[in-house]
Amino acid sequence: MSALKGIRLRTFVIFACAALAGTALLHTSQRVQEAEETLASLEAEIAREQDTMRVLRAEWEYLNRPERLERLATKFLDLVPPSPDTMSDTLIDEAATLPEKPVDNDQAQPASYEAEDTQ
Amino acid sequence: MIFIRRLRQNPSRLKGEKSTALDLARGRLALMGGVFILVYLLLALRAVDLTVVQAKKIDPDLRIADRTTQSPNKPGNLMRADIIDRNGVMLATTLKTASLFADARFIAEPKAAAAALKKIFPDLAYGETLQKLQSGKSFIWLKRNITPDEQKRVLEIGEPGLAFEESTKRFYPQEGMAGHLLGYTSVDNQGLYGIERSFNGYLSEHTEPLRLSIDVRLQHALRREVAATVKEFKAIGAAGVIMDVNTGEILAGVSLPDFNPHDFSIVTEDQSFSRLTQGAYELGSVFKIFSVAAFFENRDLPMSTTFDASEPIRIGGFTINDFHAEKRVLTIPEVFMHSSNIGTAMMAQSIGGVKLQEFYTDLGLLDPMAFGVKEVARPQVPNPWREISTLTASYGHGVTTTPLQVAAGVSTVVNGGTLVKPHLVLSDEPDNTPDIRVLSESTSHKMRQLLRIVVSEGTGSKAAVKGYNVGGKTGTAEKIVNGRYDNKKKISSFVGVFPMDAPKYAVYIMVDEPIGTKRTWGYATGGWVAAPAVARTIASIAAIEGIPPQFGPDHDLASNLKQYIKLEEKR
Repeated sequence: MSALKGIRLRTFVIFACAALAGTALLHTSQRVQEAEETLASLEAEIAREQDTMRVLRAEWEYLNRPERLERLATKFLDLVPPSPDTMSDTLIDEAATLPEKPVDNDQAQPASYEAEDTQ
Repeated sequence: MIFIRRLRQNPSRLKGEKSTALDLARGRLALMGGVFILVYLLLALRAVDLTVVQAKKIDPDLRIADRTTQSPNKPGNLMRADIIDRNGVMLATTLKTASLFADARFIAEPKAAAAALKKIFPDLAYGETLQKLQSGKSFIWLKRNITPDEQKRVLEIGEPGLAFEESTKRFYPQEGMAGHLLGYTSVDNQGLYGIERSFNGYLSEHTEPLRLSIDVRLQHALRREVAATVKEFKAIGAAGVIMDVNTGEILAGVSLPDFNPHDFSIVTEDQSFSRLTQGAYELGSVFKIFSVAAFFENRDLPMSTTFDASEPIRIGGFTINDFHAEKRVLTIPEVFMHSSNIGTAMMAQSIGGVKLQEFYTDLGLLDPMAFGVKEVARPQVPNPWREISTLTASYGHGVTTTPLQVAAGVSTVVNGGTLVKPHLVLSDEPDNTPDIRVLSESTSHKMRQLLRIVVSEGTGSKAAVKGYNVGGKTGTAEKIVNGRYDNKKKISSFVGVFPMDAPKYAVYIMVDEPIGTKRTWGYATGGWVAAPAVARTIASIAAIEGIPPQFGPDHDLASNLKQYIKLEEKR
């Protein structure tokens, strides 16, 4: 078009750049908004998961309270707490006579009759 | 303007001026139009993208969740910090709960909603709920603290006028197991008792859990044994404590009757009263530990020193008698193992009331004990302190203190002589305060021997646990009823320490008004009531902590005291 002759190349380039920059800006701002939404939804999800974890942990601790474990152990297990006699006669002797426990590749566990605490 | 400037700069373009200017304007319009079309096209595309393409990606749960009021962890809206035991087991935590309310302006079908709610919450009355839903008010509580499952079912009714408000509620997974130490909070999460009260500021401002010195396993073992004792002897109450004698950490502490912290509105005064820290009692012969230690500190005399306990002491119309009367001259180990009031009173007399009182004070027996909770009693001493006060105080009469303070005092006596300050909160920072020496290492050693012989040969034989070198002392005191001692109402207690050659644990159990049984031949003394409970507790501690038993006379600390003892034939 002859009408465009009047516009020099430089001006055209400037307009093109402006349009490009505008498009890029719009695109970026859309991306940011999108990312923010994802972030907010993830954060909300994390908060929900954390709340759920709190509830589950509380329930776990409630179900693992010593009073209940003792009641269930008495009912369902044939085990009794170690007394001085059983500790000396079985555990200590056994520790001496038992063959060595094969060493696990991942971790070697020390022979211990102490119940490990779950943190 | 740029245009004019350009014209001036480019005189050659002035030819055919008018048509050129028109073309120029047209061209620019076309360009601008093109740009706008492009931009709108982009926007249109984006709109399609958002509404059609991406709409499916958004989590439907989130959209529902967005509608309920979220309370993120804004400052000032922190969840009250957890309380955990020494191994990280949860003692108290805060949970979010939803409370159901109605905005009656938006209730579409009140009758259907009321019927549906009645189905979910059987305790809601249909008529009342319907009335609420039809009231037209914008905010009416329907049900507080509902479970997540109930919340889901309410949402499923699909009634727009039903909404939830999130709130927090304190939860105690171990229930009342350490209730008197832990305490409880009000509905708006303010600590009202125990650690919850004394550390209210910390708990409401921090998110890091507060770590206590309690071990729930030991706490359970102690509570079980104390409760069994209360039941067996039909006592009105009891207290017990397990203490680390070297650090003063309270590993377990119990007072019965106790309460459920979730239901503190129905707690009676008797339940909320902590016999361990709020009850100041005349605790009887356990005080002989402190009196004999005071004697050794002030008089450099050997174990073979004798006291004539063949006759009661009569002073100012008051007679001091022995309960387990030997009616003969006794050496120090014999005074201690037979729990002779006469012998102990003579020891106290020889050092004097001032020294005795000073020693009790140094051990922390006579001042209110600051250890982490505010519910503590003020010990009482006779005022004025007369000579008779010295004699009776030596065997624990006339002076009151709390069971916790006795445990701390005994810890100080047996641990080598450095002051034990009981505490309930574990600190990450190492304790740099210098040790305060209250008694000498040699006195402490002598006291360990004496405590051991009480269990191996004396009144505390029922506290013996095979293989664990238990030492200890019985105490039986009569309660004062209407200004005079009532021999039917006793405070029977026993303090046990083990292992005696290198003490680690002190266990003190006090039983309030036990009644003797057939099995105890009607006796309700410390040696019959509390000592077996201490023995069972110690056996549990050993099993829980995995302490291997040690057998053989080599470990018996008190064997070289036997030369000072006239052993009875039957033993």
